[in-house]
Amino acid sequence: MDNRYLQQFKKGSLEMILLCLIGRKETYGYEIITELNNNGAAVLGYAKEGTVYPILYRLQQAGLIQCRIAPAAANGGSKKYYSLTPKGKETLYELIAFWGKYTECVDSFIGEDLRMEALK
Amino acid sequence: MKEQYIRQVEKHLTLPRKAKQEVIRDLNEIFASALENGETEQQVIDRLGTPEVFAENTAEQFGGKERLPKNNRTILSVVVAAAIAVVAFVIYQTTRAGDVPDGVIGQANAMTNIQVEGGLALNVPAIILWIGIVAAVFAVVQIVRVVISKWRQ
Repeated sequence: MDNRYLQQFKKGSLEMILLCLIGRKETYGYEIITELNNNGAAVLGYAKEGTVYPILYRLQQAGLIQCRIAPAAANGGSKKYYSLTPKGKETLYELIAFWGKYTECVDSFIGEDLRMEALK
Repeated sequence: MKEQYIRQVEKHLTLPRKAKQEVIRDLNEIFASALENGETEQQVIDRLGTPEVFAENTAEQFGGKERLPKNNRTILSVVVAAAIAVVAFVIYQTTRAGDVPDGVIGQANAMTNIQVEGGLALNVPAIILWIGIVAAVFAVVQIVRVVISKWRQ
């Protein structure tokens, strides 16, 4: 059941999920992808660089995340480490607060009756 | 394989130079990290999608600082070049209007020449005229190129 309503949900929440991952600790591209796939693949589907990187660029453009480039011995190049800016932190807190109210509100529309009916 | 993929992305990416360099750097990291974790270049490419789509999605998200589409850029350059040409010709004309033919009686040009001439003989009106000509030629060439490409389509 991979309809486009589900796609919309996934798309909409990915930004917040990325902000959460980056907000928890400074992290880099491959680690983000790995964590997404280890913890969210069953629900969100497999994360791809082609989806994640464009969002990272957007978050960076919006001034929500910042990055620093550090040399990486293992891959002979460099790694870009992402962290939240103060503005990003503020936005994430707002999003988390809203998410709580949002799920509560949607749940109230679903109601016990419809939930039971759907799970039957 | 990786090099070719990155080159293709570079080709299709319509972004300012600095942003482009950043995307290319990130792509190199994507490949390096994946290889470090035992993946193959082909696996990474499969996940990234075609270079065209990757470039397009990336450019879209850079929003705001995006470069204008190529067509708009050409039109803009023609307008700017034409404006430069017009301004240059107008300036040239007005400076010429003030010129006095050599040897006119009553202009005391023997005296003033001593002060004005000498040192670098920079002929400002001529330079302006040349700027105007170059800009006009550029505008015409661009227009011709657009017309030819439209006609070919």
